[in-house]
Amino acid sequence: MKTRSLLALAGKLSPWLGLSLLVAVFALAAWRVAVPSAVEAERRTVIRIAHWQLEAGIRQGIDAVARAYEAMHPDVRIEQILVPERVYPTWLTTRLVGGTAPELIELVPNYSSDRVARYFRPLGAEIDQPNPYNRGTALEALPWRNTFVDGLASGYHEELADYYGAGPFMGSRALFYNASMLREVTGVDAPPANFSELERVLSQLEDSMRGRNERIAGFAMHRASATALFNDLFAAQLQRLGTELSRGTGLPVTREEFYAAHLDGRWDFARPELKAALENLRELSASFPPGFTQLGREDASLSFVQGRALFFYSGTWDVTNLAAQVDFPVGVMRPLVPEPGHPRFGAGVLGALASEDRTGSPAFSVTRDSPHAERAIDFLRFLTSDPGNRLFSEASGWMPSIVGVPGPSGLDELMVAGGGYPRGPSLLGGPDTSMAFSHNLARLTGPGGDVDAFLEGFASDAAAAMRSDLNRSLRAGAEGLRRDDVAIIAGRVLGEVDGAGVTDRRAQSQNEREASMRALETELAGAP
Amino acid sequence: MYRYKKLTRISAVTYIRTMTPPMPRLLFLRVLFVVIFSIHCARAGGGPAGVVEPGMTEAWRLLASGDASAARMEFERLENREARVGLGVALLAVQPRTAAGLERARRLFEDVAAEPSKDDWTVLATYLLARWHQLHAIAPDAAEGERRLLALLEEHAGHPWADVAAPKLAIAWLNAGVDDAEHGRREERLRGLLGRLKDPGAIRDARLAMADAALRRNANHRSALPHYLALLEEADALRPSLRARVLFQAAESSLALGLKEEARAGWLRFLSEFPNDYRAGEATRRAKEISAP
Repeated sequence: MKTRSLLALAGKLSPWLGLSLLVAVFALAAWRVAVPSAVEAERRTVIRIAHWQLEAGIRQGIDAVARAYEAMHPDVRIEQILVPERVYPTWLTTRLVGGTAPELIELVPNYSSDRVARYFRPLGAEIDQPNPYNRGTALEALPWRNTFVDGLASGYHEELADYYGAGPFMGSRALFYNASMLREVTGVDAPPANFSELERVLSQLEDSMRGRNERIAGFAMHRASATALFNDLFAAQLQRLGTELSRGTGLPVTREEFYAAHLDGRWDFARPELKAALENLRELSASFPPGFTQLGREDASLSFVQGRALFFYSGTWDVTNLAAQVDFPVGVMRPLVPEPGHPRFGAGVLGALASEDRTGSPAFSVTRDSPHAERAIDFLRFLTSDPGNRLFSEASGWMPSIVGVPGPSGLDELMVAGGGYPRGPSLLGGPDTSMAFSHNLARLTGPGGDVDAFLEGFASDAAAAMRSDLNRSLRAGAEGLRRDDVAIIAGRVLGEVDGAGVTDRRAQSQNEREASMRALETELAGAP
Repeated sequence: MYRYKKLTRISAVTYIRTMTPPMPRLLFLRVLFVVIFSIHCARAGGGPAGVVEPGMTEAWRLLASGDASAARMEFERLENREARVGLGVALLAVQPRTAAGLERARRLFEDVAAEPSKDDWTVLATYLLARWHQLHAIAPDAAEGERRLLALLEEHAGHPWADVAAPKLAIAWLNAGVDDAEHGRREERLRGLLGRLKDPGAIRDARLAMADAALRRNANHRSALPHYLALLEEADALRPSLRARVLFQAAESSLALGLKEEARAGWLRFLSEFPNDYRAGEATRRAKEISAP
């Protein structure tokens, strides 16, 4: 009886249930809109900083700098937004297009120039002024640009001809090694000092494996890191050839000039430097795990952490992650390339590579329409000042980006900037040429592979692939020039051509690129 | 900004529809129409040629920041010479590029350039026509573009929109695959044009094009060096990455010509201005080699 009356009551109420819920949700939403949030209530300016650096340390580093900044500016609050790398580009585009982007954003490498120009603020005017937060330090009088270890190359956008960001840390390639295993294999603690010694260590490791069931690889390697290593080997062993091909600059040619010179008949695959680089690559890859071209970053990292490889060719971005995961002592050093005196591989080498590889040194950019853009720039100045960058590096364990700021202990070796020789060109880089290289790689690094077998396949594909890459590059370049034309004309009509303005810098860049493109077109047209 | 305006317009219509009774609403709409039409006519009348009208500023800003579609809509609201040039420029950038859109842009430039009133927009439209043939057409015609750039320079020498044609012409002429005699003639002609330019940016970029082309063609340091040195005298005019390149190259060309002291001074200057550049090691070594007895 009681149950029946309850059911009857429920039956009567059910039509109202949905409506009641709707009213309740509406009331809640209205309340959230009407009542200011805690932040609004305290009227602090909020600067949001978005990035995908989920590796250990970065969040803590930025937090430490943010708290120090807030102590100096009590009316400001800094918030971090961490987004996983895989979804970051989509997330970023959605926020930018939707007009809800944070004030500071870590830019995705190769992000569309159109979007960078449209949504981000150029910092060209600011970077030539001293950073006020460097007052009282040795950097006090320097332009902000010159306080960066890389001269702020990582914040420079070539097509837009302006600086679009600055970052608190530097990334560079690094070679990690299992210090216990190294001692076990070589009997000494010191890591190899040059490429010849590295070869000796790898040979000792091979000897120590004989008669054992387990297989320890010389390098924990995956597809991307192998490509990076191959690029380094070419960059070193083709320094002389690259410089020889240059036309009066005294510096090695770019990859595009290198490809064009091949099509023009100025070098061929019989060059001894090139064959030596390929032979080196073949010998070194014998120390990689089988099937390395199919492995991902996690596979390589896991292999090293589990003690299944002596070396791990990666970058400074893995320092804090490895420290948290391994239970053996890890050493770190700059990746080694053959020295000029190396008996077999040194002929084409001029010297150690200069640190111009900007991998892993992303910059934080300021969104153009943010009402707090000036405040965001001010925070960026503090983050990349001497005191701010010290705080960051101490709290994060990452390499600082500012000159004179000491790096985390043990990473001194990687802090060496400058002094090296500019990189030579690489065979890799153009999509089609890289593809042709990959297709033939098994002939070089597979069982029984050798340089001649590789070249037999690759040389016949290379010319067409290089031409295709250059044509693709010309098409992309023309697209960039057309975009420039429109922006430059609009800028000039608006009267922004003042000798030091954004439009003028973009016009300079356009003319430089247009000249290179015309020269390349002419060279391609004349090539057989 | 544009999105905001659009929303405001929709809200206003909604307001009129809902808040006014039928008859007064009609009257209100008529008055509103007359007011808007009058404002439109007043704006379309145009100000002095070559000066950006207040109403156009936003459209050009949109274009400068890469929002060609929004800029196109703004320009299409007006009919004056500036708006037609602006619309043509916007059509060059609207994606996807279509033959019809590009052809419409060309016609707009042709019309403005051919109209009897000669002003800044005439010169800009003429420049744009040259660039259209050179770069923007679906099938570019380099020779036609160069012919128009040269005509523009000869007809309007010293005008800012004509001066910017000089580096474009230098780039096209000096990087073409012509024989040495023709290349020499072109260089000579460009040197003559260079003396008539007034725009500092155009002079700078034309110089750079001439210097770089001399190196690319046959590593001609003797032709290139005076241009590089002249570029460096205009201290603030070069953006940092270009300044670094020109500084390094001037030192390298000086050494190639046997001017050791100048080369050493050049590399030291490079190092003082760009101590963290990736070429710093190279500059240090070369400066040291020259100092060595």
